[in-house]
Amino acid sequence: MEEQVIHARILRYSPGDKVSRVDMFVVPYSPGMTFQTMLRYIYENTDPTLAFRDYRCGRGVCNTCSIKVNGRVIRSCQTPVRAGVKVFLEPANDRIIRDLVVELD
Amino acid sequence: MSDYEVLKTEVLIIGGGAAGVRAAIGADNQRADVCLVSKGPVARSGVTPLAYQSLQAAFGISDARDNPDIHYQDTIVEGRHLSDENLARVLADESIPRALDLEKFGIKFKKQGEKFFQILHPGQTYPRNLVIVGGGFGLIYGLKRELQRRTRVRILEDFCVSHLLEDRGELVGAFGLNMRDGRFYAIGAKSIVLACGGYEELWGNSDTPPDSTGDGVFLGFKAGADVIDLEMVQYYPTVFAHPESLRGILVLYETLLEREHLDFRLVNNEGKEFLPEAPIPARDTLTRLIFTEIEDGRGTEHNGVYIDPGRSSKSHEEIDGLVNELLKVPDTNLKKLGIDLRKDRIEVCPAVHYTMGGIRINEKAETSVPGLFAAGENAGNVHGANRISGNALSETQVFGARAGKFASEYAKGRRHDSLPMRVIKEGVQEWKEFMRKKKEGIRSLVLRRELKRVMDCSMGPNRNEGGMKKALDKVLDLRQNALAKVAVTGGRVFNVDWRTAMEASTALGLAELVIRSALLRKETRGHHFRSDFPQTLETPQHTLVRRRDHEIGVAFSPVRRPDQ
Repeated sequence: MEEQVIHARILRYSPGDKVSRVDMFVVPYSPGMTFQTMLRYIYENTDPTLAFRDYRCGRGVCNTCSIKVNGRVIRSCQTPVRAGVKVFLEPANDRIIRDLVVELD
Repeated sequence: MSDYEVLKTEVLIIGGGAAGVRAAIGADNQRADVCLVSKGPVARSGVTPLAYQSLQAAFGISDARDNPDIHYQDTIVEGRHLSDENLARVLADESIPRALDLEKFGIKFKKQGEKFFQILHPGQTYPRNLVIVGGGFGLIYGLKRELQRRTRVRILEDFCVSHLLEDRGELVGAFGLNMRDGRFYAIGAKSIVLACGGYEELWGNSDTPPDSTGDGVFLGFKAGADVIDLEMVQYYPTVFAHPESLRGILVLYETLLEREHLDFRLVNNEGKEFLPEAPIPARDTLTRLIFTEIEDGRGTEHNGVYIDPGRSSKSHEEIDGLVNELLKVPDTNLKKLGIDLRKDRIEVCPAVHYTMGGIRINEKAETSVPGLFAAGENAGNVHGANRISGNALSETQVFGARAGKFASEYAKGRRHDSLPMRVIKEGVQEWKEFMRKKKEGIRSLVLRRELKRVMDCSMGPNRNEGGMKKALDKVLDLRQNALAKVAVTGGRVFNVDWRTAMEASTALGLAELVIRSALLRKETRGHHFRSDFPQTLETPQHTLVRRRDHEIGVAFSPVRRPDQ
């Protein structure tokens, strides 16, 4: 059986950059995977410089893991990712600190 | 532009959970100049938002026989006589006024008419837990709102303190990294409150968020403060062991396993039930029974055991109804993740839930270092060898308020107020050392993962000398050899790897102290179970760790009885 993967494009921005860029990651799917565990996979295995909020409560309470997926704000720890999908990830609001990390309300 | 900032305050609070925020309010009440720094966003990080709804205070509403004397007795008896009895006294007496403060701050409690609704939890002689609407999140959200009303308090979030600064033996401030702008900060302070929570994240199996790495305990230790009873770690018997996205989420086993509820069964990888006939054992025993199955090779693929709905005596319809009615795995979308509790067996394992050890304090929340205070889970000698439900949140309020008040008094009485450039430069230098060597090498998360494996394996609910000595060797090896090879890449702003490297360094240092304390305690007491020393000694004693120059001293220390 062909390995199931997720194609994730992530908007990257660091302070001082004139423009943002988009990086593409191919992530192997595992059952029960959420957007949070997918980001963690990328940080642990592919790109140590990815900035995202990983102090998540994992229970949908703190909302620090909010990101925009295909234009819609979701809580990444509560949203399963499906095998084979292509997704575009952006910060949840315009007050970007770096990559997917924003100032929270 | 220099790469560091210098700030000044009177009282510096480190930690943005229930204890830290209450300390900030307490210090502001004394009209001190206050700065609060938090490793994550206040009210959205740490353990408080995940706490359950219980805060213990002996109002004696549900049962008029209850009073603070009985709260005090319950705390020390259930703490297996290892609580500092003077602290237990303060906790029992002041939970009542501190709960009333919370109401004034706008935090809502479940009420019956005008009066608090109180429920009984294990370890309480009479029903004593107040029920906070919205649980831990409701509490910390309300506290944060109160803090924001006090506009003089300065708040820095996403701020990691690396060490406390001293000048000629006096505490003068703290040094750290502000993740938001990627710059180092030296904060001059006349007094400091440590309120950074516990150290559950030294273990892999835990039900806490990833930031609970015991930073405050290790900061205090490095500054010379006495650290107490670090081996005392409270387990919760069942959390999800799998899948990864649910790891560490509590599974309310009482509801699932009780005969009169769902009547599901705990089974090992051979499909065998291993609990004795009803009733379900108490938490410490249940934890050990599950752990023994896993340790003896009868665990699941992900080092757990199964909760199996297949053998329930209930009909499908009954199960369906009861799952909907009783089971609140908070907010997790089990079904979306492909798990149906009615049909699927789930993998569960015991997890570290609360750490009783920490920095030793007295009734004024003072540590053994002048000007340094500690409160909440960061402090150590309040609960002894076992903590009863509801006392964790009470402790944050009682000792948070005291720490804030007495830290202000200390600051007001201190004339000396300088943060010499030499001290700042030393701080910057230390950081640069730490970060310089690191272009290529080991990822710090590999160290953290390795430490977790060692702690789960040898520092779990069943401990023995041989296993712990091996664990100590491994931890020392990681500390002395691997830590220097840690690599960190990327920019300065919100560099997750930098923070992970700091946390790995703290966790490895603290793990050594935890294991040394556990080796010293050659008895079984509360949550410290020694298979090689199963008896409980007649006279309880604290284990005490203290830094003197570069030596670590581990020794026993007597438990303080009233007014000692």
